[in-house]
Amino acid sequence: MIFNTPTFYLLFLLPAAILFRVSPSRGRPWVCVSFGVGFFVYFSVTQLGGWWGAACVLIFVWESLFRSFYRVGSKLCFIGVFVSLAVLGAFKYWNFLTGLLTGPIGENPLRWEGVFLPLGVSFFTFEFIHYAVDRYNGKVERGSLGEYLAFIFFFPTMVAGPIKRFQDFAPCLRQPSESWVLDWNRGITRILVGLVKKFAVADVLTSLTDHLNRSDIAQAERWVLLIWLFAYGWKIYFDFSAYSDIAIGSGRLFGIRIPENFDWPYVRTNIADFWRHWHMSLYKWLVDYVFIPLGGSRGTTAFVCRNVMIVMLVSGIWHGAGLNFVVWGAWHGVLLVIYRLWSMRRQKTKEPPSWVSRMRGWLLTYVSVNLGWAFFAMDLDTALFFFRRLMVG
Amino acid sequence: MNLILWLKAACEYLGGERDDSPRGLPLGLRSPLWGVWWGVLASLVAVFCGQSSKFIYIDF
Amino acid sequence: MNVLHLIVQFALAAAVVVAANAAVRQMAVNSVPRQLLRTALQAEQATDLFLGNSTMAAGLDEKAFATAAGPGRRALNLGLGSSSPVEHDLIYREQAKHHGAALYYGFFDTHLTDPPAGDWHTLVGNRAMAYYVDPEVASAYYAADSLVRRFIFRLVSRIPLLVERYTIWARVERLRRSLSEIGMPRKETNRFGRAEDFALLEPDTAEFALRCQKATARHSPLNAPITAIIRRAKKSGAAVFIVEMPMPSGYRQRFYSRAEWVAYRSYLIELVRAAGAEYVPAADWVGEDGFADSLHLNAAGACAFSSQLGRR
Repeated sequence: MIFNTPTFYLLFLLPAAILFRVSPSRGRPWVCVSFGVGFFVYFSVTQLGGWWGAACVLIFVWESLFRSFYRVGSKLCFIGVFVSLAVLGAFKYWNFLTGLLTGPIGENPLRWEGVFLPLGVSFFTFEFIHYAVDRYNGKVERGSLGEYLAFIFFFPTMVAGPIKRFQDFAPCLRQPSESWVLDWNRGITRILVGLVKKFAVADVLTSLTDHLNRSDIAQAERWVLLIWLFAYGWKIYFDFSAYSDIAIGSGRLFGIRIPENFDWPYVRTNIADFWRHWHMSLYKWLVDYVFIPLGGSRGTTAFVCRNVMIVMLVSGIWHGAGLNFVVWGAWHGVLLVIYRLWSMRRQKTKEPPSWVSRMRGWLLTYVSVNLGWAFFAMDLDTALFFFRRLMVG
Repeated sequence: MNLILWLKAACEYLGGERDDSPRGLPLGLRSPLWGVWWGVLASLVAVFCGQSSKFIYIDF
Repeated sequence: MNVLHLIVQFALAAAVVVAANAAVRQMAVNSVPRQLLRTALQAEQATDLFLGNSTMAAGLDEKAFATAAGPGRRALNLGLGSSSPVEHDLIYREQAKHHGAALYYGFFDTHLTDPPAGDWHTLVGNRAMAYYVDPEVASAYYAADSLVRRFIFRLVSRIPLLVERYTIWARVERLRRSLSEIGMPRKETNRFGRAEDFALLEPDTAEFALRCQKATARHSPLNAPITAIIRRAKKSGAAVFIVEMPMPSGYRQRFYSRAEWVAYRSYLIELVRAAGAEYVPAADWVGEDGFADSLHLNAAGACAFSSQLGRR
């Protein structure tokens, strides 16, 4: 993890945030770029991929040059999308996909030994795609080279999001908030709270969730299995929301507002609402760049349900290269479809939901989301073994 | 319900998410108590940040 | 809101952290090394002192030794878990009261010739005593080659939150282990931790053989803290015994049957004798049922080992 290292704060965040504040407006984007490049290279070399990982900074360079060809309605935007997907596919999914294809043979002759993930590849490729598509649709201005580089190299959000939009980022870059004292108060508070969520809650819960493996599931008493699974649900929430807190707090030190990523998702009373409040930047990205291009909610019920399923399968695959993630995505897709069909039926009654039905909705949402975490936390075989042990013994 | 919403707002304010305090919470952003809160949070981080360390011996 | 408000807030945060330091210092008042040194100070004059790491701490039964050794003998076990020769030297330096007592130093593997190594990452837990018992001596061992490292050593030694961080983290680790045990078969534990964890301390066999071979080929001397211990003991007129601690048969089979260890051991015996000490080959003194885990003797094993040592 990068956010728990003194290096992140002493070598990158604090000097960058201070320099950003004192720099003239023309210099500010380049402060973000230089620290972002340094961040990417340093943590690639020390944590992810070594010098080959660091060399992946050239992907950003390519992107910053190619984006200058994007115009409204230009097909070159699609090439940009394709290149981003190819980068993501090559690093993240090559072994998974070739493994699926060569499964019947047994061994995978196309396996890429020594594959690594470039730092933040799942996030920066989605930001590249957003920019390309919004340029195509005329929804985002071009911005200067420095501004675009600052956008893609903004290191607080590089590792784990939130996924930014250029049209939100650029105005903050040009005119960061002037009330820096307020920003630092809020930013420091947010960062510290994020660190406490990570260390004092999420990491303590791993003492339970580390048991989610075949050997421990086989030995454990059955009643503890659900405790482990629900602990995982809390652990992943505190872990991921902690990263978002630190990223958003860090952005606040610069005077740059990063979009919120979590909004009390576990208190929501239906699965659609849950997804509107869990990893919100990804949810919005999926709606804008997958759901709506597929046709969105315009069409027959079956058509819309199909779109929902595709979106959730994409979400699942994005989270990880494994069949278990596909199943996880499908699980949520089915839940969303069921909810859609149920709420369409319910709309006809025009009764506001009672307190009891809201509680029922909350319980159903909470339990079904947490049962789905089994497929997120474990490979498919182990997850199925888990449920078999839970239900049958 | 109002209490729950108030608690939510208070948590968000104490967590650095909101800039405005919920009505009735006597803790403005100028208050020195934020320093105490930061000290408590930093101390909690110091207490809990060792969990990636490999513990074999614990007779200390 | 202006910058003065922020400065006051930072200052208060710093004050809370300083208070946390004071709380940690207070919490560490009864840390195991401090308890050990207090016990040694309060104990009656010993006739036989025992130094070493957890193998000695677990392995020496003071009563059994004294009974076997004969009337008038008082054994004092100063073995300290998770410690190195530097910490043993620091402990021994504090034993002015017991100088003159026969000294038994327990070791295993190549601990007598391995050079002292310790830094921010490894001087934790009981080894953190290097920061507060005698930082000058400890930094001379650990940071002799670098002014920067010596500076960092001295800086860390002034901050209890850093020095005693494992004391705090150990409590969190105990919480984690108790959560982890819920609904699972109980794991065997002893005073040092989980029995199965000690297998993780076993070296890689190839790496172990290489270490022995290099030490023999290079004629590595006894390391500086061991030399200092022996010299101080001899100066006070004490007899010195270097004890090769009992090891389980599986361990001996995997490591001590190797030609590299046999050659190293012969070399080590010569070194120890040249330093004026006696070598006690106790590795095979205790049977399998005398061990609590892959390293430490249980109560019965400690009794057997201590009695045999006392009878020598």
